[in-house]
Amino acid sequence: MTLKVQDLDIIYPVDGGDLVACQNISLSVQPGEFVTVIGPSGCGKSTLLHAMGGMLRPTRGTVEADGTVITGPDPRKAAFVFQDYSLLPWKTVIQNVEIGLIFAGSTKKDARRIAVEKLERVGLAGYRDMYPRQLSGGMQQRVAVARALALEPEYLLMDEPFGALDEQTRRALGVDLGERLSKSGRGVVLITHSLEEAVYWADRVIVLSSRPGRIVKEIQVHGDRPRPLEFMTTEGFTEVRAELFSLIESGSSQEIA
Amino acid sequence: MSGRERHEAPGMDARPHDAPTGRDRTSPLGGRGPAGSAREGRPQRLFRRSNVSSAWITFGLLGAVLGAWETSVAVGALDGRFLPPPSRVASGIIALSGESAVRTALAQTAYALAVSFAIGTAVGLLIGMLLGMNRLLRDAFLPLVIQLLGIPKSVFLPLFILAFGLGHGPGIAFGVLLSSIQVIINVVGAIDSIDTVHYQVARAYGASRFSTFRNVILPGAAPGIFAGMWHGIRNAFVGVVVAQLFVSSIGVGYLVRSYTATFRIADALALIFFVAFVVILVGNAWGVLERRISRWREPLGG
Ligand SMILES: Nc1ncnc2c1ncn2[C@@H]1O[C@H](COP(=O)(O)OP(=O)(O)OP(=O)(O)O)[C@@H](O)[C@H]1O
Ligand SMILES: [Mg+2]
Repeated sequence: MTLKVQDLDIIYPVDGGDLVACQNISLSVQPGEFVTVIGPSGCGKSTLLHAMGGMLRPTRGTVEADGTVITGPDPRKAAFVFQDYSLLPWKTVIQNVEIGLIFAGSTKKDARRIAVEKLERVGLAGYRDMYPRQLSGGMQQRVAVARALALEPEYLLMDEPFGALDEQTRRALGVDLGERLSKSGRGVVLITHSLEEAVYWADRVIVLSSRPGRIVKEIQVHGDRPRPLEFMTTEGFTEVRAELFSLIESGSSQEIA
Repeated sequence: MSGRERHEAPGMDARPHDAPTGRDRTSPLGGRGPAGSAREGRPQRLFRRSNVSSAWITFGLLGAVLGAWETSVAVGALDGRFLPPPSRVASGIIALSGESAVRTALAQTAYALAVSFAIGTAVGLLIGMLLGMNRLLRDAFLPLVIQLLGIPKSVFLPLFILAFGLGHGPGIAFGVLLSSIQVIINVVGAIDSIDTVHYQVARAYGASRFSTFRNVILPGAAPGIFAGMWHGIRNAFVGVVVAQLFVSSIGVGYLVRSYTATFRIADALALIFFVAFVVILVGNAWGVLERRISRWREPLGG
């Protein structure tokens, strides 16, 4: 399945006029491709991701999955991992992994079987009967990832999944998860604020301008995934990182001026 | 889109102080301490650790007050005819428990309380859920309910007598009015306290409305709803007793009225203390239940 965004505009009606969050965005994500989206805060990244997942209707333009226009969320095509603390605090870890499947219409029995398996996959089998607040932030995000993976989606849509974590945790989690996702062959769209993350994980980095969010640049990152941590010391990595840095810097200085 | 920042408290800002809601996350009994958001476990733990010594202080103070009262009457500083000492009140309780009039009155009050709580809660839950989940209904009716909360409802009592006579009617009806308002406010607050990201999860994973209700709204609001139900009981009780005290010719309220009118002050006090004690017991039992269903909100290891 190819996920395709075409001439997308998203305008929020707000008091005192329209707020243009995304402008003229076109992009496509191939099966198994890992795309990261980076851009200044408030530029419309989440808005774009939500539109790609059918969570909100574009003002103009379309989002298509293999040529069919997406009109609503379909977690088996594209499953969300939300920013943070999106686990249901009143459900245990295992119930949280199940709930995506149950929402999507699976039977309780199937949901349990798959949830157990996915929880094992993210290394949290021993925590199945705990409540989210008894887990660290990083563990909670792994549960949220397991919840999404449980649907065996063709794409994973991740909105700054590790935004709230410290540098070290997110790197460890990132390496681990990046490897898993690369091996699973799923397509991923990941929003991040971290330049390292954006480059290290991605086949392609999409840079958005400050609001209204437009695509400033798409940069291909070479090198097979999963990548070793040393990838961050290669020239390929540092070059792309430097380019991103200057793009984002010039973007945000414009914003201030 | 993260919702957290944009999650506002629609229309609830004018909430008066005596209407704790799910958002406040305090137990009606203060048992869980000044619990803040789900991620602030510490104040609760501190509170818990000091529980033993704080209980000593509480009981010490109670004992001191009772002791002072007893001695004041003994030395003649207080007039025992108007304020009988605790020892006489205590023996009054024992004596009264044998009187059939008292048993009947207690049964009448318990019955009125049960009925008015059942109706008040059912009405409160239904209206609270509707207002909590429907924007239009909320905007139309919630302000009214909040206004109603602010005015002293006992001024309506005479109307209740006209409408319901002197038997069980006015007590039950007044209890229903008081308790349903509390339950409505608390249920709306409890539903509001659910983070929008949880609704987004439900939608993103294709949840039906029923499934969202069952897995998100109901469990998310349950602790607040439970706290609201306690306010419901409390207010049903206030409504029932106040109505009996002033207008009915049945129940504990009426008995207290007739005791004081005939100068059986010790008996009146005995009845009052006994009822207060029962209410406190029920409140504590309710608190235990409430903590059990909000286990997910407890701090680490809770
Ligand atoms: N439901 C909404 N109604 C009105 N305006 C909105 C809504 N959601 C987002 N916006 C606005 O649209 C713009 C883009 O928001 P969005 O959440 O997509 O940004 P973002 O790039 O994800 O930011 P961040 O990096 O801080 O998460 C912001 O100015 C935001 O205020
Ligand atoms: Mg965002």
